[in-house]
Amino acid sequence: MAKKFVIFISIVILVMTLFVIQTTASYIQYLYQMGMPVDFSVFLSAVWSDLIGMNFHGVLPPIALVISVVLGVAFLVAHLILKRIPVEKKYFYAFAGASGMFTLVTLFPALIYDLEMYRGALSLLGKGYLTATGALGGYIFGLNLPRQS
Amino acid sequence: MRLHFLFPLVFILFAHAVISSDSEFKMETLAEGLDHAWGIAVVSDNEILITEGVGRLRRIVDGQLDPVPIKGIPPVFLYPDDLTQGGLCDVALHPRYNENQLIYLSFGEADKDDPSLNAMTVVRGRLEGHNLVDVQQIFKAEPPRKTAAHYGARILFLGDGTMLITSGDGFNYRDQAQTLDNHVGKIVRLNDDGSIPDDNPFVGIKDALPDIWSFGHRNPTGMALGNDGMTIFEHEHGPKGGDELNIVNIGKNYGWPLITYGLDYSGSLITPFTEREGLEQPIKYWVPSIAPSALAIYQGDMFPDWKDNLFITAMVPGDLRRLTIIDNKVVGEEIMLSELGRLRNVVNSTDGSLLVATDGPDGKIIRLYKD
Repeated sequence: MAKKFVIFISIVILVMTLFVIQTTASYIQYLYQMGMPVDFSVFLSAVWSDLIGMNFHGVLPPIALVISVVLGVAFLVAHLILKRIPVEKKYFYAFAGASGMFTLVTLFPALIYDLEMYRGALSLLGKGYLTATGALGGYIFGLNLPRQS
Repeated sequence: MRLHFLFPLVFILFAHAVISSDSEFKMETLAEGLDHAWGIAVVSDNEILITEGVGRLRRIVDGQLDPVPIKGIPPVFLYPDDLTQGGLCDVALHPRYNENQLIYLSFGEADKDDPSLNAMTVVRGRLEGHNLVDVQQIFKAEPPRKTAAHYGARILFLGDGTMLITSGDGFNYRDQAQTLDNHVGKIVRLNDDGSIPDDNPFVGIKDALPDIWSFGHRNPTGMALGNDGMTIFEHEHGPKGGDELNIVNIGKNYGWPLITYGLDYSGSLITPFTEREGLEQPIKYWVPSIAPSALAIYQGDMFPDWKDNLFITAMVPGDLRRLTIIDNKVVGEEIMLSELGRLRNVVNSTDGSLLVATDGPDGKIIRLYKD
């Protein structure tokens, strides 16, 4: 159980970091296109600011908490289904992670009058990328689960 | 000599005393039960027009709210019945209203081809008793958007008879505030009939809409003409922090979202930059946000201390800000009416009193006056 928890927390940190990088990249790319003086050091500094900001300075719940809940629910459902259906775990958890993140980036705006609160999810490409981060997290989670589970 | 260091201190104390010299005023409620009051237009000494977000235009006559709304108002877009933003917004009188009875209304209007979309629209019509007649559209923000937020929608007539209309960034469309082929995050200037003045800054510029006056705005909901008849003050909602008070000049770029003093609601940066050559700076910004909703410059004689002061209604936490401006710089800020909750609008009345609208489903019009 403890190992599962450590794996889960590691996955949350990974997915959260990828989420934040996507958020940062989306506005840095726009600023670059608009001729603002951005370079790699500005990008790195902005990623760091966003890691802190999205966890401690937002109006929304901390992104780490949001992703924990999203992936936690997705993996729990996957776990219950896997007890009944014999499917390759790593692929099913990947599907579950992708479904969770897809739900987050599509359902969340729908609940608040179509307002996109996460800059990284503004475009279809961004939504696809964030869905893929969920798939990656789920895949790694399934890959690293103890055999008996 | 040793006491010279006290001079700045004395000056600061004196300045503070001037700034916070709270003129005694009384309050009376002129109307209540208004469903999201937004725009106020003072027609005469005894008549006031008020818009309600739900799409009603109301009238206060001789201090009494007329129970019958004015008929003929176009249907407004409410998504889905949410009135935190949008609906029927501003009302403005034509500069020669006494001759032609023309009024202007701004509101979100559903797109005729795709009802899931909407656009900030301005119409004008003639007020005949309890009816608005000869209604014609004079402006529609392009392109229509999916969101029901950040409309701007403030109307201001200038001394030359032209009008400025603010158009917000629609929340999801912020990047378009920097391009001139749309009305996202723009202030436009039109003639009173909706035609485009020849001396607008982007007339004849390739790929630019000729009605644009300034750009790079977020959600500009307040605008007022200075008592000099030249200076245009405008404020706009920032994101999380970064509400701005600007002096708007022809053809200028106000920077959104390339520069800002605010953060995104998620807590991420919107940009690492707060200034850049070619992008205008606000004369004041607020961190944390105050959610400024409307702006008036005091013109009356009832409160001599308030002459030329800017009054801004704020919705977070809810108060009235009195700003003292000297040489286009804000030198003082007094917080008033912090007990009334979210405030939506402030205008000058004909007798020198101020009218303030409270926000919400049970909105009030409150008059600040002294005997």
